[in-house]
Amino acid sequence: MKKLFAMFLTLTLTVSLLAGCGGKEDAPAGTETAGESQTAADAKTEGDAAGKTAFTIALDSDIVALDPAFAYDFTTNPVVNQITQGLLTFDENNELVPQLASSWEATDDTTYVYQIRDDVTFSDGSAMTMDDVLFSIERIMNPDTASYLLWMFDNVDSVEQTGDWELTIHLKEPSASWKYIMATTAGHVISKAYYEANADTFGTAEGGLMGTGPYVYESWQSGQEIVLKRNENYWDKDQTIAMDTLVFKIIPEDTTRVTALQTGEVDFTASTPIDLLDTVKADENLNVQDVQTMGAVFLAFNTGRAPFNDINVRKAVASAINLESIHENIVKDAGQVGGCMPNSSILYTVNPDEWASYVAGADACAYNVTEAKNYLAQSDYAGGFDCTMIISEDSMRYSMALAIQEYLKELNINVELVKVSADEHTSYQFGGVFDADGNRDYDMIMAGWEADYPDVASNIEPLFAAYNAGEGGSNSAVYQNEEVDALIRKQSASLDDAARNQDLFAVMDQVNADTPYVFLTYPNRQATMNKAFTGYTMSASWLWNMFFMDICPAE
Amino acid sequence: MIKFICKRVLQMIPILFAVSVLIFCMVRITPSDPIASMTKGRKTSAETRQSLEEKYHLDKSLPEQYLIWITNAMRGDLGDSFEYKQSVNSLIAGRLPTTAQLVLMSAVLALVIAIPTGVISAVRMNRLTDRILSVLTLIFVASPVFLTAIALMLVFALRLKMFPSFGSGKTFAENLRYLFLPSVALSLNMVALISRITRSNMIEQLNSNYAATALAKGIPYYKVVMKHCFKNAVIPVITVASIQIGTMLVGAVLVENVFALGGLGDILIGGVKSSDYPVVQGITLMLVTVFLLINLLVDIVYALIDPRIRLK
Repeated sequence: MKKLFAMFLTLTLTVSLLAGCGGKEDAPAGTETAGESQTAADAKTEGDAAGKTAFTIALDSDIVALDPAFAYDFTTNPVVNQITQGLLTFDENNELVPQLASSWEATDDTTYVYQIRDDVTFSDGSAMTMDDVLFSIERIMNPDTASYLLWMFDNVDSVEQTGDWELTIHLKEPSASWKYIMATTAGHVISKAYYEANADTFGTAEGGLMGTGPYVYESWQSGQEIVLKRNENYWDKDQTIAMDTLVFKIIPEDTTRVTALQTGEVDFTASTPIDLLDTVKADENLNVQDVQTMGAVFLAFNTGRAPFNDINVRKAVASAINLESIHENIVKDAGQVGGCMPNSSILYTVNPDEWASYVAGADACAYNVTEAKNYLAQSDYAGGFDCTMIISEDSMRYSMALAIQEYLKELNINVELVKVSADEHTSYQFGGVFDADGNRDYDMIMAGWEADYPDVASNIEPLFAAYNAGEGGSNSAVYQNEEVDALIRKQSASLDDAARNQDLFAVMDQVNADTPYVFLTYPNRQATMNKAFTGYTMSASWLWNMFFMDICPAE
Repeated sequence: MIKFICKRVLQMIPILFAVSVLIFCMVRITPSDPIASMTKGRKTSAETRQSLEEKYHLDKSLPEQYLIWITNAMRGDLGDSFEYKQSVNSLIAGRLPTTAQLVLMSAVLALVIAIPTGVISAVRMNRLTDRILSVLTLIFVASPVFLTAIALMLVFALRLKMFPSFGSGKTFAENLRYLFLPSVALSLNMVALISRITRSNMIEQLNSNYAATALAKGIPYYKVVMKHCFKNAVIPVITVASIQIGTMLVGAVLVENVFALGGLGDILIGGVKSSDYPVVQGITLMLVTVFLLINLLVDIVYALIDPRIRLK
């Protein structure tokens, strides 16, 4: 019996020892996390909407950092956007509006002048100065920061203070897209004093960050949650911020995210899993909002090597795919049927009617099996051929790929689906894997692209410009057309939006004649919110403008 | 005893060295580009790329990269995560407590359920109780962790609202509630295995000569079962249990993912997917170390239970 006792003693000792370790490890984590969030979350499960002071948002993965310099994805941005703000921002119609700047103008093709507000304070109550503005921009422009947004400043010649509250940015050459940059996280202002005091830990759970936004960083428990508190010193006194606390919960598994919405443990998610959409829609406590995105899912033909260097092969494949049927059976609410453009109508911001009539009259391949067979007969591969298609692990895209595989069997084209992990897919899509001849190593790849700003050229340029075809480039079809390049360069250096449209029509005429891509679907996203809350409508530019300050309990 | 422990700890060094080389090479096998992964394929200027490569030593040769990593690791610094702009140490510190408690709770739960079940099955061999328990354990061993986890969540969190559906608490005590469903899900496979082993060992002991002798001498049946047979039967159980704890770390990855626990498994899988070399290397190295330490501990426990086993 004594031995048995000794054994149990060891066991309990081990348990308590390991638990002790855990406890100790927990302590530093505990100092950086407030216990309050938990009680808030607990209260939420029981209390009704009126008593709620916290709004809980489910993210599908952890944030990268608490730092606008690295905020360039769909989980980091929604968090950072509450804490720091840009000189400009996008409103719900995707239009540019001033935020920390009071106004802005282009005084000539390459000079942009921003009047900075003099009444803005950081969340600690200190005033935002021109020093902070300059420091924030220069920090992102400094290659040592290794900011993900550095490329946005490639065209910047100088940034300087030209008046008490005036900031002037000189560009190297005219740019149609520059105006958007100050509305992205690249134009976000952080407190210089706070950064300097916390240089080593800035952006981590320990150091956090300080900005001018409606919420203040409270805690970040890696892999679990980020808690933000209302900014009691918010500079815009006209803005009422109803919720005391924002809690971001990291829930990677789709089923769990939906369950948490159903139990009320979570109030909102911008990533409603499409497979479970019916469950979410059936729940009487939840509201689902369809949001058009600025992106497209496409099939890119590797035009750099056989067989897809043959235009008739590309046209044959493009004509063999029945997109209507794919949408009816597979995509459903998750997207709109693709067409001749690399984006949905959401990007037709200038003269939308002109775009609508262009698209209606565009000469692009449509589903027609007879045509498809004719095209193939005219090619060097009349008898069909074997080829590969790279796809990611996404279940909807896989189903689409299977459908395409079936359609192409009609033409005696055997497609081998190559399913790769997310990072391998990224590597393939952006020209990181090459064959012995130095070509991109795939025949076809199914991939997606989403515009950075609501500008009609922001999908055309990355996908069709030849200078994006090389290593690290986004032109997955390796499409090369000098005329297209010249037109793309011309319009991107022009500030005359009406004239730009004409150039882009000409680009699309060429592209549609050459068929380097098939645009399969323009994806939608579904944002789900508990009916106990109101005050938020998501827009297509939500990567940059997802703000929760207007959220309040529903009446 | 001290000498034995020292010797065993020293033996761990070459093992860890071999493992470190192996992990270092394996994470780099897939044709992926960590920089593209870091920036999620979005636009990157050549300057950003270069600056990132310098920051994470990716511009250096592989042997150099290994040396930098292993020398820092020996000083306790596992480097900075590519994806998350923080050190692997702080990622582990933030996530280890949850994973450790999950595995512990599951192991304790499994032993507490499995050992009595095994003993009862053995005592009631081939009778109705034994049959029912056998069928149950068969179901347990056949159900995949992932599925059990979702089923438990849907029943006990969504329908019955008895437990939170995801997340973990801030303290050990709070976690007893938060981690209950996850640890049940994780323990079921182990319950099945351990109870089967306890049962067969107990049967063997009960049929042995010494048990018959003891009974013949008039020692009460329960005493024979508990004092004599059980003690002899439990040693192989400990061996299996210790190995199972290693397996549990694998199962924990799935359970953590389903219940959004934000543990080590979650970040390890994420790291593999996004070519976050320092995270994968650091966590694997840590897990291997823990595994070796558990084995050492088990050897010590053997000696305490059974004087026939000497620590050499």
